[in-house]
Amino acid sequence: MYTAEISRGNPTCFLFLIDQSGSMEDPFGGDTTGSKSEAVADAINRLLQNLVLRCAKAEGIRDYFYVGVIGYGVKVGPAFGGDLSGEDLVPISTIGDQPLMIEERTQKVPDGAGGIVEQEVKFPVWFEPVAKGPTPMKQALKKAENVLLGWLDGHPDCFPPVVINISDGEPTDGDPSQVADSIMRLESSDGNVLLFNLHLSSSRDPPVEFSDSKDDLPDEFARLLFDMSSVLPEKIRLEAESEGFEVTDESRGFIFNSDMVKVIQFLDIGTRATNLR
Amino acid sequence: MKLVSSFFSTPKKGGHPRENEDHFFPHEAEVRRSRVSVAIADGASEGYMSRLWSKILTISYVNFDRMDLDVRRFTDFCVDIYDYQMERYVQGRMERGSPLRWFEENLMNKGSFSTLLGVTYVHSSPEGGHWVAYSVGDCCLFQLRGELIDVFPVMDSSGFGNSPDLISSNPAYNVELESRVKVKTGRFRFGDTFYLMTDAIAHWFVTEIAVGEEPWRDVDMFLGSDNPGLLGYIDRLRVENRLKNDDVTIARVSLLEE
Repeated sequence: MYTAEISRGNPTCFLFLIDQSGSMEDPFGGDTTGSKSEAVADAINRLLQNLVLRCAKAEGIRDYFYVGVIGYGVKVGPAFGGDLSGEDLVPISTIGDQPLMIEERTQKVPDGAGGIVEQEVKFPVWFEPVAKGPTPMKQALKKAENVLLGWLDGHPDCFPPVVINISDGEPTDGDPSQVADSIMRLESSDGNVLLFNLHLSSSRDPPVEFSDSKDDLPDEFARLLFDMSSVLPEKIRLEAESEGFEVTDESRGFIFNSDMVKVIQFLDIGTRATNLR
Repeated sequence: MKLVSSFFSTPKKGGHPRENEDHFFPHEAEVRRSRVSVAIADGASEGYMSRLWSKILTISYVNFDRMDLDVRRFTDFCVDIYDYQMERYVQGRMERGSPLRWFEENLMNKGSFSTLLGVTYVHSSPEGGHWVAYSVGDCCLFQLRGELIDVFPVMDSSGFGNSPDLISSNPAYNVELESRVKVKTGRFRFGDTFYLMTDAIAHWFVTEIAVGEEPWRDVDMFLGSDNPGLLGYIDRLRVENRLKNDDVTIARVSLLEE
């Protein structure tokens, strides 16, 4: 299981659920300078950028992935703007070609002589911070389930779709656990859909990555999202281990106040440049 | 000394030949010299212009043609060629009114990545000579004298993953390069055959050898004489899930007395 080739002939699907509710206006990680909504926008933009870069070559972007983003706040639905507005799933090449804007940012990179230098990089932006309304996470998961059913119908042998929910974990429309379970029971011939959660909290508690137990998690929202997260398949777990993460057979796709980008790098679409670690 | 070689290279199934990021050099079927080098490389799928980088590495290795390769100097030399080529490429794109897109710029900043296996043979005795091989990553060499007598780098089936050691066109990612280089010396007799191959087909070789098979016999039926037949054979292995769907390059090198 979880061995299907990801290719242009047999693409897989990423579905991101982003919490755009009013509570996301609160500070992130105890920080007084940034809000959770800014952290969400940053996370989804970086995830999309990394997906594009994984598929990009000089001749263009190869459609190994189809990507959907469902926002939940004042309303629940496809969250892309501009020409992608209203689309449930979009080929990764279209996403790469149509960011809302491209910012110039500086990035610290190794200089090859043991030091660090600052380098100008392009930072495409597809999503800007939004924090308004309630947190209908259950509805968002239901919407995701419908999108996934359609995808799996057309791609029964794909590498199982990956759903990444980015939230502060405070749903206002009831307990989403049952819908999350339904999503994790969906399957292609290669395994069950993977549901991962990135919990962005106002708490100052230390980051948690791929934990195998909810005992040390700081609050009930973190524990809820932990319970809603898939156990890492062996192949992804081994990749995580080789990148230095402490994982066990029971580790889940749950990240608390940290970075989810690594998860998408664990999916095999060819030789990876691990020098870039 | 006469080095006779044949090679076969094909992209992953579903890919276009120009997407094949493997490279083998030299392309001459026969080279007559007392010292000859050959090289094979596998450009990483992730990375910009990996095809160009694997080509630069192999051609440069063959032109360096040294038993005592200074890997750092060699890599610096290759990086200079790469930078020059990229400068011309970017300039050409500008002139055609098609400047690099954001993702190309970001990827170019990171650089290109490739494995490399280079072998240099020296005629040093009436019966043959000696060889030295330098390897970064998971390309493999198999030496045969009727039967298998050497494999480099020594790997079992589990040694093939999707994150091998790589040489980068960006010096910032070559800081630990020396620790990634494996070196092996050996002797050859005239009549010995060496197979050099990229990781997917090498993995199949290693797996077959481990269960007592002699996979080179099947390859020999086609290599150099029937490329469509070899492609069909490789496709069958892929369909049977015995071979990963990846670029495949196999080179057969025979050392003969003049």
